[in-house]
Amino acid sequence: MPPAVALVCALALVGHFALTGLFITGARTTGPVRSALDEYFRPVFSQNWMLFAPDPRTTVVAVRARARVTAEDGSVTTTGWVDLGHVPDTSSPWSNVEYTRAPLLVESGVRQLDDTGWSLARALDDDQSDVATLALDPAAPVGLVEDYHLYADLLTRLALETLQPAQTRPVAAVQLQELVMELPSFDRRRAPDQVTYLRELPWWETR
Amino acid sequence: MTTLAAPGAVWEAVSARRHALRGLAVLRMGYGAMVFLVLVVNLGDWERLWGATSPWRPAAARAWLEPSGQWSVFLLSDAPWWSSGLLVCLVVASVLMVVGWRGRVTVPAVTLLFHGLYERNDHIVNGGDNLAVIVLVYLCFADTTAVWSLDAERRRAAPARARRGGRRAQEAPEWWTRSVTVVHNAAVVAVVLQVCVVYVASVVYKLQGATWRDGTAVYYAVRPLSLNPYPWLSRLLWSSGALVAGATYATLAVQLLFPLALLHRWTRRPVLVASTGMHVSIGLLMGLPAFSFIMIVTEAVLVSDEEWLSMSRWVARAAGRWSSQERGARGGVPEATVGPSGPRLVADEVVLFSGENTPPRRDGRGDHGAGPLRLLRRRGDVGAAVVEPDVRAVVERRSRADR
Repeated sequence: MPPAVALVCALALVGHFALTGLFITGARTTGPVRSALDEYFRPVFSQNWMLFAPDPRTTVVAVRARARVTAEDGSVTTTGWVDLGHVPDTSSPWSNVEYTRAPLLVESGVRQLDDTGWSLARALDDDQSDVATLALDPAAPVGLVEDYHLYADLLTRLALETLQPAQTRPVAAVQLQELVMELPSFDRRRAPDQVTYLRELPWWETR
Repeated sequence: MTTLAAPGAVWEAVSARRHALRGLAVLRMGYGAMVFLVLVVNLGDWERLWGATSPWRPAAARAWLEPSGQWSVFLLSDAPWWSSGLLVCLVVASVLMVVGWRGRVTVPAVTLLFHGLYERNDHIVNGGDNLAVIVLVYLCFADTTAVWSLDAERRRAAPARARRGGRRAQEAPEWWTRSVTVVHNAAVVAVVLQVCVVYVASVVYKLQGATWRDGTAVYYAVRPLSLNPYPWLSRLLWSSGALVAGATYATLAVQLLFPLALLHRWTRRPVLVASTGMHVSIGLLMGLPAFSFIMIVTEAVLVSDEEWLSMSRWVARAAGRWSSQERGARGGVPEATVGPSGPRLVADEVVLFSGENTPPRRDGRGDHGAGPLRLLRRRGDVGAAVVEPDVRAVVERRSRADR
């Protein structure tokens, strides 16, 4: 009995880790083998070890939002920009530690939306239009359009959490703005962090 | 240890001895503590992050997971009591996992619930969580509460309890004990291989990056202010070109050589020290304590039982509370398979028994609780083993012929 158990264990170990190698190295491949691998790995053993690789990020993204509110007389007002999520703060060693997870929600939502935008631009061969316009294109891949709506919905809700409490009337729409700060290159490392560009997302109706 | 020329010895090493019992106990406690801390630190955000009214709606999470066949136990119901109830269960299970109460139940429970938590909102997870989900599955097959746990305490008390109750201590049949041991050892191998996969995959990806190859990657990793608890400390590092290049190439070297270095004690210890140093630096310079903690804890499996024992002895001695009673009670946890009816020891192991405790009898009725004081896996004769002067040691040595 124990030798049979040992044989099963040995085969399982060899098989599982051989497949792990295939799963990791073939992340960009498609086809029946890939689907079979995904079926085995995705539910529990899904893994991605691109830890600070291939290169560490050279940008820091801060996110702001503003709201459009319709007053009772029908006039529309737009609020000022409000920071969402984590703003770097050097005053306390505890403020810039990832010990709570909530700030990551905003950062991840925005980065995922950006990634979706780039994928859409690649798929449609259009790097001029903004992500919302690309998502409306009938030729856009269905999966990417679905992703866009998921992340837009997530970010709308996150913006509402911050903006709605200050309003007496329901917020009609929100807009997000990304401040993308590019780190100076290593040769110019004594230069301060620079705000290199500002990306505005379209207004999203709150349903 | 064993040689290829002795298949019998290999079989004994695989089926007679449960390896890395202390390392896995550290993993169990560390993983339990990590899960507990994640939940407690985010207590005020439970509903936002994992609840039914989270901005990452259950329907959105489901739409995101389902096309690729993923699922989460948290998404089985949209009722608020379901997710809150599971979170409470996970807190309780993680505490029980730390103290080692019914490990064969609590470890799978934490595995299922933490996997659910991970998938419910994968916007807020990191590589450490990813490793934890996978390694927890392997831990379900291992004996994680053999030492340093309430289970171990209970097992030690069991024979006495049974005697009081007029019953004989029940022993599992040998084929069962051996099978469980084989599965345990396979799980240990799986954890080790998984750690190697992490490092090798990660270094292969890094070598594709221009900044890792030109030696500046660490600058970009530690410079951002967003996750940076000690900007002055990271500035100290990144303002020096030599330090940045040194840290960058050292990271590549540690990850690249990690699996090879495990093959011999002389290289295993330095590489473990180096990778622990790397993760401590990540924790300090990049503000990722949970990630660093999980990576360090997982490497505990690579520290052998003997090394854990000598470290705990060293710590205990340094703390000045080293008495022979305590040694009998705490240090002398018997290896699970060196029981009376269990398989015998491999040939060149020397076992010390404390003076008060008789060696296990071979008729299968010995006292499990009073086993060997500690197991020293050393070649050669008794003189090679360090015998504490205040222990009246009974030394039993079994030769190959004895078996």
